[in-house]
Amino acid sequence: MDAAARALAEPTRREILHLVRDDERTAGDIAKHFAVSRPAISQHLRVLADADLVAVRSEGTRRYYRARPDGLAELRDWLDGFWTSSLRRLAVEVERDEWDKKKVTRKKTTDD
Amino acid sequence: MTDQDTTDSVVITERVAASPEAVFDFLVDPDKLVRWLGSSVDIEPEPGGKFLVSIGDNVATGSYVRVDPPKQVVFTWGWEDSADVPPGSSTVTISLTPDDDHTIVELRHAGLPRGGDDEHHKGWTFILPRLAAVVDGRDPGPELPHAD
Repeated sequence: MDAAARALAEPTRREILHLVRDDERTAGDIAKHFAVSRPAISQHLRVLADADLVAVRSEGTRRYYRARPDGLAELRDWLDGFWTSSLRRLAVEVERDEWDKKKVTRKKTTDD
Repeated sequence: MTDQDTTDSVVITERVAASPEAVFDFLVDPDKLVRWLGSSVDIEPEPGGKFLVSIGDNVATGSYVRVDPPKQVVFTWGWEDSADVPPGSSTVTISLTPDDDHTIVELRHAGLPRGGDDEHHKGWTFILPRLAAVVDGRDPGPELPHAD
């Protein structure tokens, strides 16, 4: 999941994913949509493939890229993680306040 | 649940050592909400009122459907800049149930695009901003809260 998050941190890579989410495209075709160099696009594609966000299919000398639907399951797992960690934070924050309240009550009792 | 076949949901539970009333404050008081969700919030916790949370450089928005202290809060949720999953397209239900001197918090995020088949692209645009937020913005961390 870290690899996917890292891969998606780069705006160009997010754009590339958008381009290949419905259509298979070659690196050359993808590069036409960007101002950056073709080798730079190839590098981005490698990062996306390593993160399992795009699938690569070879046909002769051509390589076609397409967003991987399977990657979505991993992304959903991330959403799961987002809510899990958020709720964990909720528990910690609520309990911190409760603890502070108890301390105040105890201090008052001691002072009285 | 007529859309069960085309949508997905995430259900998370957490047990908190506090009363439902204390937990409920953390759902509807913006100063408390922001301590556990996102990096800034702008909310009007009443039916029809707005729900807006910044997560990294993405903004999740929707509106409140139900605010029932100290039991339940329901609001819709989507991404501000997403054409496929606009604000309000999924629903988050947070339910509080007393359990001795604790509270069970159940969060259900329903109506999420299901992965796979020709529907998969919806999922991409829905979830990509979240992932970007992890790196671009404030990562809530895998388990631990922020040490402020």
